Amino acid sequence: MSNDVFEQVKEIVSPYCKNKAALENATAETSFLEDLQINSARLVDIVIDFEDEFDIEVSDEEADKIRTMGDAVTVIKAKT
Amino acid sequence: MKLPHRQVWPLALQKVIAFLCMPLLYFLVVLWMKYIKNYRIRDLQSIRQQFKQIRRQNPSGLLICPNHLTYIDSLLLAWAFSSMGSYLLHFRTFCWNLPNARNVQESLLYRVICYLGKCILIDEDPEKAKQTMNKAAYLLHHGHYVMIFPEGRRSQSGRVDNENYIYGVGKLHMDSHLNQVLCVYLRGDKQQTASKMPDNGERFNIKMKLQTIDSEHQGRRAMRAAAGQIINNLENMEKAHFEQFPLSKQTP
Repeated sequence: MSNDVFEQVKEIVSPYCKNKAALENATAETSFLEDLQINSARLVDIVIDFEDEFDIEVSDEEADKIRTMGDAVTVIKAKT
Repeated sequence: MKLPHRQVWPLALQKVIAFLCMPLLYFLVVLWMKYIKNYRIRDLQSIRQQFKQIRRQNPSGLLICPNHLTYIDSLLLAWAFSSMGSYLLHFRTFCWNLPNARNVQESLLYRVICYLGKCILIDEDPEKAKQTMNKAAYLLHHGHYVMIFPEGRRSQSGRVDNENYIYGVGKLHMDSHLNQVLCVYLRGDKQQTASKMPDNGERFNIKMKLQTIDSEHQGRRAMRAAAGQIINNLENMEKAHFEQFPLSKQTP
């Protein structure tokens, strides 16, 4: 399940990611802003995409804590 | 929107000091722009008249959202919107600005000018940035005018950036609980791309449009929708600008 979620997160993040190589080799520690070079404004789009894809609601506080791929997986897994 | 008391009184103090220094600051800035840089704003009186009408129609606060091409856009707009006398009578319309702290941190002079020019700096740190946005929402809620560049930075393409814009403007709009924002399109005849400073002798055109923000969404979706509507409006204003002033036919 965790791997599935991780792969789905990778897929969702892909259109916003400027560093495709980093995404290809992403781990739980890979950060959205520094490693994947995603524009900070686009993090909002990504969280909305998570909500749509996994049919969950992410609060502002939870969204603020999503900094890495692992953070995203943790939040999603806690809600599905 | 409520703010802790420890954040309210510094804003009140800054407002008083800015009010006292405004005549000198306004005089020096306009002197520099008009007589040293030889800038001119087309239809200045008509723009001020329009701004006056907007002020009369909006006794509440107003979020002002201009496009962003140079470091001095907010100074040009402050000059364009009102005379010194009008600002003294209606100081709430002298906009609060939200510049990036990184741009002014290195110079004490810049920081002083920013303080006197009613700027509250947006820090890189997300928590501090959030506090600044809360302050801005508080000011809007209390009848002040706040200017924020929805693109977040000077447009690298020279056109309204519809890809990398910030959603913070949408959040600010939502937190202010105001229905309308004032979209402003500012462009000099010779401005092709973003630059630090417009060329000497530049002639500027300004268009303003009050826009009602509609959203069926809530939360971050509403924030995104509001920011998108503002950017779309700026894009339409840009299109109208270039229809009126095609690049090859601009007058000297």
